[in-house]
Amino acid sequence: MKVPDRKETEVRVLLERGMPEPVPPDLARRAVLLGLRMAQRRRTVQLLLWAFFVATVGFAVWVALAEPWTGEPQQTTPPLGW
Amino acid sequence: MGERRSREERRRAREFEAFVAGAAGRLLHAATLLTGEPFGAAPAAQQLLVGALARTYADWDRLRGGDPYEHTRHDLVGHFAHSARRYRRPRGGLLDRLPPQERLMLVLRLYEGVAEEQAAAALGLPVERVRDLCTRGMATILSREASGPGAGTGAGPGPGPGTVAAAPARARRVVRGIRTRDTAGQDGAGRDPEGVA
Repeated sequence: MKVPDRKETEVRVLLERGMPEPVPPDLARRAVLLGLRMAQRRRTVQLLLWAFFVATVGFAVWVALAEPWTGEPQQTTPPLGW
Repeated sequence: MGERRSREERRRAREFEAFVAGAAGRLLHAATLLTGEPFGAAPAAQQLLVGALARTYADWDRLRGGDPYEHTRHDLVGHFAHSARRYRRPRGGLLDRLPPQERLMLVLRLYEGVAEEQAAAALGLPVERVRDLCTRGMATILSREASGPGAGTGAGPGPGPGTVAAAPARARRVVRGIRTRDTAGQDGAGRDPEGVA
């Protein structure tokens, strides 16, 4: 374990000194409001990501089942005699 | 359902406000040291702190068992490190002559008492770099304080006689220098017109 040296102690004293910071009384309220907005935004982003995920999975399942790239089967035979 | 949620919301707000009431003073002091603003007039530090506290509040339920103070400090430091360029301009505070990185190290290591290894891990720096920044910051601040409060305006702190002076005397002078700085400023302002007249 390192022994705290003299310089460190001096700087520490320097940093600790100074007037006790007057904390604005509405600091907590501001933080709560901003925090609520952040949480709301996070929820929205999460919801959008989930919606995108579900849509992608749904599309993949439909594609696998319906195979839309195979064209319609022909209903009529080509005319004879050419 | 809505009733329960609003009750939860109120409980969380109450807990959070109790935490802020206890911790805001110290955190604001740290933020003010970081932004290099004078004590008592630190809008940028307040903004930095409100952002960090807001993120702590948003994560409040997730940090059950964790320390909200540590979470807030970690967030504060991370955001400061990320936007350090904005705080390079001196603003008249105690550490305003130091580059933001050195300020950050001094605050983390000495004001908050975080271990070198933890500070390095939190910022993604090698331990040697942390040690180096800290040493350089300490040297600058001590030599600046030792060479008198007025010397802060000079770019070069200069290894004056103060650096080799006996330590206790220097510490005392540092204390006195800080204490008389305000009155000296007023004196100077008052003396100036007389000098002109």
